Amino acid sequence: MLKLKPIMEFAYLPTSLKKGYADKYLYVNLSENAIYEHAITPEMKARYVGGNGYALKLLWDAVEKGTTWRDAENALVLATGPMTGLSQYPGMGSMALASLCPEKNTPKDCAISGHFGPYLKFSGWDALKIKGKAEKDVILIIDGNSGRVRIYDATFVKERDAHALADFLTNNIADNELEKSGVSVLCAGRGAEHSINGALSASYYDVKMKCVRLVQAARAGLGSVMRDKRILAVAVKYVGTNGALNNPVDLHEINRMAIEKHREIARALRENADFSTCGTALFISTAGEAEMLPVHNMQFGTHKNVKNIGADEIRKRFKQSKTSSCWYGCSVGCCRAIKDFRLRSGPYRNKKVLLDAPDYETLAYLGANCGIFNIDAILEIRYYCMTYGVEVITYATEMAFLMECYERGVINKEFTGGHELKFGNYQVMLDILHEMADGRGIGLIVGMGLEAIKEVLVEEYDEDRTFLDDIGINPNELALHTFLSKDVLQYQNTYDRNERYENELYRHARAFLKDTALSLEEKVLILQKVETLHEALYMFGCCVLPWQEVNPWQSDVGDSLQQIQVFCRLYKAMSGEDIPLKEVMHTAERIAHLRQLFKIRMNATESGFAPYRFIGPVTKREYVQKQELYDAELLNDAEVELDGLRGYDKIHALRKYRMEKLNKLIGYIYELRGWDDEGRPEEKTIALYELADDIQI
Amino acid sequence: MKRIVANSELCMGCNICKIACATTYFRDESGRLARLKVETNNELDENVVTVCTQCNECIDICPVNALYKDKSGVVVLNREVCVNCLICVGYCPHGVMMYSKKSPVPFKCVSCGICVKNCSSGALSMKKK
Repeated sequence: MLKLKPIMEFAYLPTSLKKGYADKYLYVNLSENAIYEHAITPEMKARYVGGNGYALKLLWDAVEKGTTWRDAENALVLATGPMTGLSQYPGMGSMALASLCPEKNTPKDCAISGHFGPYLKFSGWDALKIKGKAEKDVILIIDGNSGRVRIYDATFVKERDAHALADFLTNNIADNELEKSGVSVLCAGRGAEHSINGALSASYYDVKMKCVRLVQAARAGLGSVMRDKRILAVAVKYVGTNGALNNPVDLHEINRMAIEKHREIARALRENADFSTCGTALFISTAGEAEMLPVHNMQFGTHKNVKNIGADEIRKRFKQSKTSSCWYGCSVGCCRAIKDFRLRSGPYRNKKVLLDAPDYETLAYLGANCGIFNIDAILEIRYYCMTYGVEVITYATEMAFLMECYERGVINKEFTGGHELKFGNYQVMLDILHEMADGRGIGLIVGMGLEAIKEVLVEEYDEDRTFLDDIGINPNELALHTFLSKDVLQYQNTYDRNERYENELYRHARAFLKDTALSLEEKVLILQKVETLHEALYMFGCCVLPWQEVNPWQSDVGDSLQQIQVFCRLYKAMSGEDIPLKEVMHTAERIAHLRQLFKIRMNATESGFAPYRFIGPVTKREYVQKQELYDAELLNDAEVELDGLRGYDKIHALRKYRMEKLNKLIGYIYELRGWDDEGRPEEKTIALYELADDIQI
Repeated sequence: MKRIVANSELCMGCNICKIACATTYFRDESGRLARLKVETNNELDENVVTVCTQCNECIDICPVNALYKDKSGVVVLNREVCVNCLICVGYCPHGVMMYSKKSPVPFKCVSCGICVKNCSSGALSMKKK
């Protein structure tokens, strides 16, 4: 029983969903201490479907040109899709989040899977929009069974870290052990109060492991927004999940398709035991062999110790059930975990905790890119990132940048507060994380974000801005590639154009790593289709993994498009509407254009190119590592005479050539999208996607 | 442990076991809702009987512990806890975790022995241990 003082209560009549929709959203204004029920119009439903479409549109309507992330007008929007909450089909626990991102006041959206989205919808709400700022720390709780929304005074809640807070709320909101699985908590952590890259985590109660687990939403600084609004947590309770709650038109067809999908996944996992036992960590050794693993702030593509963080090491530690997932019905099983991992640092030193198995991204960026080839260290850093509400990949990328600066003498111990910030020093990474949580030392500087760190280095240490820009990979602006992108042109164009979708593309390994017969234009077209495909899946409230991740080395884009046709059948069973694939893709493209128009509205299109490290070798050492490849490119492709060219001359010549190529490619992509040279959707594009009335710019 | 054992070589393909099972639990005289499978291969002139071996695979994969073994070692489903994820149906290695639109939750053999009692060829027997 939660013993907190309610500040405000809003009662509503929980209504059944119809064909996957509640057709209303909950609007909480913390400044006014008010809660409202708003209808979602049929027009909005038809044009934006749900998920990222709803999240971006509701955010668009909430803010104005000039609104900043700290303003009370900024909204934190959570939106489900029509398929969210299907308990029988894999990957249906997804929900989209959107807000103005702290780094540049850019609108950002991301997705998170787990129990929160489904329970929000079962409680009768397609979306939740939170505006305003509370005067003191508050907790918002939605009880979907009794139809009550309450805002509680959280001033005296001691738990401030994500794991502890989620645990506290789950145990106190649930009336008994069975109800614990009906509670999900969305929260950040202490670190988010001292960082602009605070992350939100959503909890779910793992019945098998008998503990609360967390899933983190990627790169957008939403945890910082939440804490700025003085929200400690948002919790939702719904007890009584079953496969019929969405009230689909043809439940039997959905069940039949779900069983078919489970069988397909079971077969694939039995055939590909490697993937079923260690997930995407499998790709670490492959990337290392192909020299495409980001190592030491993306300077290099491989390292002699890659095997220490490879699949075999993961397999030794994580032996959990093959279907451990963050939402019921997902048989992909990407949430493997180990219990009783003893922490060795920080406020929870010697505490035994549950840890999730690291995926490729965590191992690549927190591990190899920071020079850490020790899985226990990677796991501990990730645990603390999550519990403090610090975005894992952002922290890793910033630290890799600072490590390189330290090793090059750009910064010294005076800057780092005495820390020996060398690649591989995981103890320092942990120390700085603890400092960030406490709001002291270099932790505060790291929390300011990469752009601010660069400003400090330029203004106070008189460092070369161009060099810092070249090597500083800002993950908030980055569709972070899980493979090193500097020698793969088709990857390089994605910086800042798209939030998150392209980081999935390595799964189409056949098209990009193996199939050299494809032209660049063909590859770009494929990229575009995959982007749209992912946009569509998030729009409907689906996780992308079950649609392509079953056997990634064998999948290609053709398979994915086939999967979307399967998806259309599933959607027909949900809604009764027979929508053609073309229409799905058209609606998804509308959302991509809305996002771009939104950035323009907030004056956030100027970031343009990726840091050059993303595109080619910045230093002599990087050039020498692949001298043969780069020399050949200069000689044969750029037709540059190499005689007489010294180290930096070659680097400059290659840079000029690659930037020209990339510029040409970006022009081609913008043209394909119907955008002008500066990335603005053209009039005819706005007309084609019928966006004019919605955007009014 | 109590479980049904099938000897396909003795099966005559009469399907009486299926009808008995389906009638008992669903009042379905067609046998379609039986909790065991009898597949006839006309070309090879053979019948293949598949019954639940109580192997535990479904218990391992159930995300909410709705499946468990009772005192006699039989895997049973707690309908109150089941969330209809249907993973057990897709993952059953023998294909005998059943689903039908007539049942809100999956269903399986509970080793009640009705099929054994109705099998006249001796293809089905009950094993204890």
